[in-house]
Amino acid sequence: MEKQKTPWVFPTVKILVSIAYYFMLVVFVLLLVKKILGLIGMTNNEGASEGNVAYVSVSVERSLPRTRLDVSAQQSADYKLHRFSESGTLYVPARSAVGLLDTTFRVLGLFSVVVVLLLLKKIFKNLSGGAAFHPDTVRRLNWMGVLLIAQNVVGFAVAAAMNHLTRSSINSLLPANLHEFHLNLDFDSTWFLGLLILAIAQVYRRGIELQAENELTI
Amino acid sequence: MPIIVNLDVMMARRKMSLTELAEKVDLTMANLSILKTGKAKAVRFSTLEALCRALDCQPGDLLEWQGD
Repeated sequence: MEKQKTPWVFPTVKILVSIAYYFMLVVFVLLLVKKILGLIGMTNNEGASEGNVAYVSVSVERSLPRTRLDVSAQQSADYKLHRFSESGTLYVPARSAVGLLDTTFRVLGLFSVVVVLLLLKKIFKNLSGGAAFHPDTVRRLNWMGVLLIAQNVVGFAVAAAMNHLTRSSINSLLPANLHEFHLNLDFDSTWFLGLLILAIAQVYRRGIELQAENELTI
Repeated sequence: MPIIVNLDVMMARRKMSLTELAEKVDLTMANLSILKTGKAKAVRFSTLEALCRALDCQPGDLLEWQGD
């Protein structure tokens, strides 16, 4: 079977990775500046303000009783609508515990994305130099996997902490209790991707061993 | 390693330098050096054939087993 040659794929992906890295780096710097200015009160982060108090927004969600809104009575019998949750945005002062936690988490989250892209960029740089199976690549893949898993773990912990900290405030705002907390284990979350990358890193490590053996085969 | 490569012995018998042998068997000096110093993990039959042809010897003249 003839090997298909697609010489444009690697350089294109390499360029896209570089673009993504520099773009996210700029976004990170802008976010950091915005958050810092928001914390020192020079700008308002999220559009809600009272005097000189800056606010950050926190997404909240509650589960509804499982009521069935059956539209078939009105229209055809083909469709039924089930509402399971309501969501909203809670504005908290930027300098409060919740605000600082939210800001720190967002900044760290974006920073980890920048680091992952930087590691990916360095992997592609190694590949361009001809060193496909390099120990540095394994080390970088491991770090990428750990960072992606940590994002989810830290996100879960931060969400739990914020949920706990905002519970009394939310209860005082609305009669209904908005403290329903959902553990998100969707397979499009980064922890799954992190696990895949860690597995690929081990395959790569074996590849390095095989390459070393091949190099010492005369 | 239990398998010893007696390349330098055969080269001395045939009065052949490493450079000359490298040219004859179409191997780099680095690879021959790896073979000579016993760092090689494996040898291809094609390489062994080329060495035997260049040094006019048998594989057993080049490879020796020494127990631990």
